[in-house]
Amino acid sequence: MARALNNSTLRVHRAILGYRPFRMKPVHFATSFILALEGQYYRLEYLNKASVPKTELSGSRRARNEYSSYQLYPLLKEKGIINPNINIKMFNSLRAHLNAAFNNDGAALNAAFPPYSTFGTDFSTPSIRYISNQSKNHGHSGSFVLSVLEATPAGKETLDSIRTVLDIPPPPLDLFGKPLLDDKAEKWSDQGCEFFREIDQERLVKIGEDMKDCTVALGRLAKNLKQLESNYSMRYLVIGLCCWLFTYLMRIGKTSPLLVVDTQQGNNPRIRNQSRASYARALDQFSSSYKRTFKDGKVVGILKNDWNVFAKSSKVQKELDDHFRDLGVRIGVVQPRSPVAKHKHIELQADTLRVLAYSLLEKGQVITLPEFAKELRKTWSVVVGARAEDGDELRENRFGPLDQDEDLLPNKMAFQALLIRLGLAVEPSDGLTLVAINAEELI
Amino acid sequence: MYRTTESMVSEALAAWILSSLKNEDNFAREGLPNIDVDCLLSALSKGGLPSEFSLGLAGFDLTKEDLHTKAKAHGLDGLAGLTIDLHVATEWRNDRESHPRIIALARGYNPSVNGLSFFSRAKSSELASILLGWAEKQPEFTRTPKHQELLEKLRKRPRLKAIRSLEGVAAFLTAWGGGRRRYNRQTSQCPA
Repeated sequence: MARALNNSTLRVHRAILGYRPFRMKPVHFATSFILALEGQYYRLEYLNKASVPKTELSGSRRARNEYSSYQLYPLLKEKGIINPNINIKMFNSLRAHLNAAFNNDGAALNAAFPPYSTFGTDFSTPSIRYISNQSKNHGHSGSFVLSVLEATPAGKETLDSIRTVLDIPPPPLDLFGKPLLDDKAEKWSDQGCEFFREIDQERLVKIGEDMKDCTVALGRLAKNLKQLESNYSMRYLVIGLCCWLFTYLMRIGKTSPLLVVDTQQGNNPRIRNQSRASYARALDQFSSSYKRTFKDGKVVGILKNDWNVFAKSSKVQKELDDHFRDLGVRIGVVQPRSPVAKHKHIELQADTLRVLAYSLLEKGQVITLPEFAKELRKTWSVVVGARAEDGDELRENRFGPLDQDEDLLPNKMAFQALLIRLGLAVEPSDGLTLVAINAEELI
Repeated sequence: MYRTTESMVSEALAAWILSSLKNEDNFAREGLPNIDVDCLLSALSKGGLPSEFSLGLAGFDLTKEDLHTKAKAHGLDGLAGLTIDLHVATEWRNDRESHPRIIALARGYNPSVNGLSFFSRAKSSELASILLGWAEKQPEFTRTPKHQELLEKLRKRPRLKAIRSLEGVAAFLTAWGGGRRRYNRQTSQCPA
């Protein structure tokens, strides 16, 4: 029964969404995307063993537990990976630091080699050298995005720009783990995985066309990151790719989704309520999109039996909700992060706003705040109250009541202040705010 | 008789202006939602708006001719000036002899007009309270003492501040009166 549910679920997800929606973090997505893009991975056995400290096991498993410092220390010393001057106490301290550095945000890095096994493990990704084949939590979402990008000319151009970002000299974090990295890459193909199936070209082209604006923005982001050569380029690129995926999820639910950003951190209860409502509506539209898509007959290839199994399962409904919520939270669009917080709202985190700005602005381009807000709305579906027509649009979409002077204007001012703090905007005269990538230097 | 949300906002604006005629010469408000222009002009006319006033209404889907026709229909054709351009209303400030008192109301946000900043203004929450006060005097909302009490509590309770938005109160009173939220419906009627 469980197997039937799994197979049916998989076929329905594949037909409607294009990949399997797990509770996924950006690091999981990044691993899948880079694996598919590069077609290779590294085993990273020593990095895994060194960065996941374990205590000594008892009995027969003790003999081959290289996750214990007592066994790993002499091994790495013998292989010349660690300096002989480093004693075991220092080595233990080093392992704690390695864990902190490469264990993303505390839940993605597990012991992957015998005597342990894991559902999946992902390293923080300072460079492509840190991509292993142990990641299983991505549901092939990265391969899906790559396939869509490869299907259109705009997507291909964006991929070219993305490849240049991967060639940027890696940050210091890359050097930290370098002695533990493998020199030899292994070949990777999604085809080897039983959960992966290719999507037909016609459908990929259709998705590519529907997502063209976001794809072009992603290409612009990659070009800007290449020029800026920041230590955070890889991180920003992954956030950008995940924003693309999150927008794709929203557009499955609705042609023109709308997210009300609360920039006042809850100080305005009316804005907070509407921001929550916009998140709840987007989530609901995504959750119910499967049913609508099946009923409309827009997607071919779903067997009625599969759909019946899928539709009766409350587990898969929860999977969809969790996937949407987790992705939104982890990319810094949805808040609060706490899983116990029932009411979530839209609040762009600083890095996410920077990524979106880099995706909308060309190098040297200077635009006014309302123009920037217009692009944000058009491409990434977010409304901050900075456009003259925001009030009308929110009203038409049944968000409100919100007053221009006491709700939308303060929201705009808080958004403007955040842009200025991030160095993305300046206010040269009262009432005029100009937005640019390096606003302070440029204007 | 049904009312629309737009007519409620108009009543709030008229009540604000008429209640301050003795103390203020100039009134300005930007960032307004849509209003029922006929309703506003009717209420101002009935409230005895002096003819020395000039009136600017910007962003309400009106032509200059529309505004003149409507003002005439409500007995306000004797006003010192009428315009649908907020910049013209701003220029009136420099011609006080012809335009001694000015009302400038605009829909949406008008970023380039700063010249009206010294005019008397009412925040949306103040207009919401004024609208609730206006409703307390209308028989259609005060058929029982409990209704009166409800409106008074909505207007006065500090803890209810968060729900006193102009659009919210206007929509609430419209629904109470059995009216429609949308503008230009057949049922949209302003009390004669």
